[in-house]
Amino acid sequence: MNTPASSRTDTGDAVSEPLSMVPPSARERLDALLKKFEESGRQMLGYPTNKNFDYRELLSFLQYSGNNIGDPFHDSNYASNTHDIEREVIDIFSDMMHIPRDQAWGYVTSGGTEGNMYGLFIGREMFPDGVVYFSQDTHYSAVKILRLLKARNIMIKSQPNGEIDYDDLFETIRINRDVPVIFLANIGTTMKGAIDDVDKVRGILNDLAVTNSYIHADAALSGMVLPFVDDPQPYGFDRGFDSVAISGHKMIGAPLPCGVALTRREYVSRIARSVEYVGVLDTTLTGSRSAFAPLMIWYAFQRHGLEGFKGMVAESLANAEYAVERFNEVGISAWRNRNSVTVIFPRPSEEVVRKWQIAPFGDIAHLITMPNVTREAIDALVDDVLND
Amino acid sequence: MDRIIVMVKDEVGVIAAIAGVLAGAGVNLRSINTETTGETGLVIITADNTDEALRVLTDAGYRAVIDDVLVVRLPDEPGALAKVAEKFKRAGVNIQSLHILDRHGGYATVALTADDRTLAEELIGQDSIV
Repeated sequence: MNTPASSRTDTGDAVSEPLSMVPPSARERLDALLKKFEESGRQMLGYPTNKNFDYRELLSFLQYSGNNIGDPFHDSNYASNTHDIEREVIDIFSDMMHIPRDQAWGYVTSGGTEGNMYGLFIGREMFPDGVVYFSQDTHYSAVKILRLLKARNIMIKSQPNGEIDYDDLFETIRINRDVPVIFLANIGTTMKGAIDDVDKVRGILNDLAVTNSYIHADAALSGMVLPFVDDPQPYGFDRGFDSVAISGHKMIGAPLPCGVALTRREYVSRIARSVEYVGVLDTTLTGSRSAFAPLMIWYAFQRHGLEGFKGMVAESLANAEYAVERFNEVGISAWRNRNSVTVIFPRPSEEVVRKWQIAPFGDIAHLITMPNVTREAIDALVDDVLND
Repeated sequence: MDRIIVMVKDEVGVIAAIAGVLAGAGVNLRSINTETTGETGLVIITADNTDEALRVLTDAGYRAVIDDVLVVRLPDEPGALAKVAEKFKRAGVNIQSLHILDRHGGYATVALTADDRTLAEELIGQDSIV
């Protein structure tokens, strides 16, 4: 029997699905998959995805073949696009990243990796002979990107908290001070939520009289945290960013991976010259791009507003602190970096890792208190780790 | 034949565990050697199917690299990597990539690629190359 499935949104309302148009066996698979998604989502504490979202109002757009092919700041012959919405999204992020709107350029990406690839691509185009420096705690995709870009690169040691070792960075750049520096700053490392101090990095570049440099910031998660806290670590274009990548499916929350790449318009104009020969002034990395992703991000900001996100971030940070306190109360050593929703604790058993979908790394594991993570869930995890 | 270098904790049963992973995937070991420093160790293997061996070891959670990179052990102290970089620079060898694979027991294990591997090996010295 084909039973229409239903699911629930963050407001608790049921969503009816249309009558099935596929064979019963396929319907059964879909139902089973939906159930798996529903169950697994409830106990996912180790990955930075905010599951509190509701995009039902946008469902009608899925009837159309939208495509944001090309540069959102140029006209497209493909009419079913959301370029104007995408430009508004870029404006929002320009404000948050402290760059005047008319000096910024960006687009909505398929996620953090594309944004990082874009930033490093621009850095490499600006300084083809440059060396990319990044810390040991950088997301693994950076190595993949650097290989693709064939960019020379040197990994620098990290401090125990996940932040780059500035002494090691200084010494290594000192050796190559005549070579342009492309620095990949972690604005929230994947495992420890550590934030590289771009003021210190700029200080090192100044001390060594490095004249050609570029800073790309991987701000996948913390790019949506730091703008909303009272005492943020240095971040933004006014503090030295030349480009930044921020994820859309993390703190904002979305059913599809997405993100934003943002840079200075003047850099993109230079890149445009080098791609002009293909006859299309498309300075994005991909061809066809999602028209729906910009719509979701725009919708989330319309719905919650900056104040709404500020509240979400404050609650998430308070829950992170609560988690640290709860672990420590029962004698389990846990800690977090300042302004981070990532709580680090000793790696528990595989059973606990699987149950709570925790991301372990070596001897440690982390819990990320995204807006959907409740104190009840934190308590239950602490109990499980304690009884492990 | 390419070597695979596996970063491990120096503990009882680790060789058997690696051999078990490879055997389970039908990969035959040609040779296996170990080096230990403090609490960490390196297991260096050759196998009849290098690609498959690398895949199953990685899937099993081991940190493993193939030695088209130069794997080097250096003291884990400030400026140690910079000293290597300086030596290379003076000799006119470009480092293409330099990645830290492991830091334990006062040593850092580093994977390095350079535009002149032979000269790079000379500069580092056989004592530091894994």
